[in-house]
Order: sequence, then structure tokens, then C-alpha cells
Amino acid sequence: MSSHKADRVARVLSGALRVWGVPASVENADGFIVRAPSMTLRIVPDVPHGWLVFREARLIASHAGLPGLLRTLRNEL
Amino acid sequence: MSALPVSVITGFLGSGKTTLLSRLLRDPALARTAVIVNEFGEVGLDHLLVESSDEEVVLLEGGCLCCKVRGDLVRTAGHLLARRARGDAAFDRIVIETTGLADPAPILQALMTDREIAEALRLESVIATVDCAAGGATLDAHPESVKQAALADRIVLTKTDLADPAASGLAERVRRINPSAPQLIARHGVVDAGRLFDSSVHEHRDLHQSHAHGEGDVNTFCLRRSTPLHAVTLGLFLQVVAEHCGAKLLRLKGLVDVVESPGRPAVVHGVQHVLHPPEWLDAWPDGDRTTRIVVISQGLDAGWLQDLLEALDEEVKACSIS
Repeated sequence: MSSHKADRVARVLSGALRVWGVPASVENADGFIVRAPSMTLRIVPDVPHGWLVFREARLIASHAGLPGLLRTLRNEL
Repeated sequence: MSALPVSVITGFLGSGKTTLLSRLLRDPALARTAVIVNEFGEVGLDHLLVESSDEEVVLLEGGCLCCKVRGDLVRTAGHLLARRARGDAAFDRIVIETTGLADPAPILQALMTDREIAEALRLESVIATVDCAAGGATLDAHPESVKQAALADRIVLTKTDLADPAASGLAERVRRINPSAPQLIARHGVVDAGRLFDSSVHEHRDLHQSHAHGEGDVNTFCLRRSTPLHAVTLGLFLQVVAEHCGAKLLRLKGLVDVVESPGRPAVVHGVQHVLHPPEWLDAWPDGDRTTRIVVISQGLDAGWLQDLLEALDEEVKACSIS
């Protein structure tokens, strides 16, 4: 994933957190780390497309695109 | 059977809704109009002021339309439609006059989603009256009046004999609240009905505003894109917006250039979490063929929605290539 694309996705995730009113941060780190007071989620690009979501080391969801990823984040956070 | 056009007249208390409606109903072009009115209070005074000639006038008693919308409005509209189907009432359009205190969003949602009436009715236009004499103070003091103006497709400036909206700055202020809604001047309640009702949400020449504006907590901006979107992207974008933006999205309306439909733009519109499936025009309404989506919101960020749109399209394109 290009840095340009990664930055854009990070902005999408950060913006969604603001819309939901969730106090969490997003870091770019070979994917993304979403840090909330109650938990940390790791989002990893799947191959060839999509996203894997981990809580601690456990895979909790996989999604083909951002709509599903956003839904999972909202539900988890 | 084609869907019947329904328009909503909103505007704050005393802003001239009933006067406007009374005059409009004298226009032969609106002779076959059914009117649903309500009044906040024990006496439906507004009902008495609406002249009924060929029109069907139904009064919703006992409260604010937005609060009772799921019940009374749907039931009343359904009743009117049933009478029309039986041949007991002849009308080709419904106009709903809200109370001055009403938030129009739930009314629009009901019209767009209620199973009993959504398929039979087509939202034609949302018209907001703004009083040029007291409008500025009203906008200062009553957030619901800002929302009424923000949600409108057409703004009617009333009481212009008392104050000049250009000189007072009111016209410009209302334009900042809702830059995509044309403003019409009412002279003693008289405006050109054709400009109000022919110019439905499906007239799109006005979707040219590209600068963000705001008033109170209402902000308006236009998402633009010069290259066409994939149809799948558009569907996903509307899905995400509906799912996550909810009450923060007051209104969304736009024209979208879609890869799979060259020369035939998609029309999108929605209120809060209810977004209609795209409809398709036969041609662009003017020479501007760029995608433009006007968003009127309470606190949504234009940059975020633009990033979301671009990121979704990148994902769709990546999947399409492989």
C-alpha cells in the first residue's frame, strides 16, 4: 500500500472516530493501530484486497473493503 | 401508477407559510392540490386561513407535525391516497405545511421511507419561508429555523415590503446556510408557483457551490470530483454515509458522473440516515459534467467525506483490475 493511500485511509479512520465521538487515535504502522482507552486494535491490509482486524493477537474480523472495516471498528469501540 | 409529487412548506412561526400557501392555492396550476396542514395548539387557526376550492385540506390536530409524523402524517397521506384511488378525491399533488416549530427532517424521512406511502409519493420540493423583517433574529435565537432553511430546496423570502433582504444581509446569510437553494422573493405572499414546484430536488443546476459555509452548528459544503465514479463506489459511499453519519447529515443531494453510465448522471438525495437509491437523468442539465454532492450537516467534515469517497473508489478500482 502506497504511503499516499495509507495516509488517506488513516484520515478516513480518524474522521470516522470523530463522527462517532470515540476518543481514540490512529497510527500508521504497516497497516494501522487504533488505540482507544479500552482496547487497541490492529488493522492489517489483506492480500490481495481488504482488511484484517486483530484485537491483541486474535483475528476478530476480515473485510473486503472500508465499509465492513468501519462497521467492525464502530462495533468494537 | 406514477408516484404523486409531494412538497413540504416549512419555516419558523410567523414567517409566512400560510400566506404563501393560500396564495399558491389560487394559482390555477395548483388547482388539483391536496393540502395537509397542522397547527401547534388547540385551535387550528391556520386551517381557517387556507382557502379550499378544489383542494383537499386535512387538518392534523393536536400537536407538532414532526413529533406525530409517523402516525398522523402517514395515516393522513394514506387516507388521502385511498380516497383518490376510490375516485372520491381528485388531486395531482400534495402539499404539507409544517408548524413553525417543526424539524422537517422526520417529515421527509417518513415520506421517503414509510412503507404505506413512500412508493406512492415522490418528494418534489422542500420550501422554507424566511421572514425578512424578523428572520435574522429568528436565526439567532432558534436553531430549528436554521435547520429549516438548511434542509430546503427553495427559500422564499417573505415580508420584503418591510425589509430589504439584500440590504440587511439576510439574503447572504441564508445563502451561507444553504448555498444550493435558490431564493425567491415573495411579494405579499405571491411567488411564481412554477419556480417553486417545477424546481424539484431533481433540478440540479444549483449544485455548483464549492465553498464551505456555516451558520451555528450547520455547515454546508460540496464534494466535487472531475473523474467519474464507479457505480459500486457510489453505492458504498451512500451506504457508509447512511450508516455512520446518521443525525449529523441533515441533507445530501447531488449529481454523480458514473463510469458505467456515460452521459446519464445519477441523482442522489437523502435526509439523515435515509438515502434514496440513485435515480438516473437522461442527460446532464448543463455543461458542467463534474460530480457534485452538496452536503448540509451538523458537524460533518468535508475533508473526511472527500477522503472516504476517494478511498472507496480506489478500493473498487483495485478490485476491478484484478
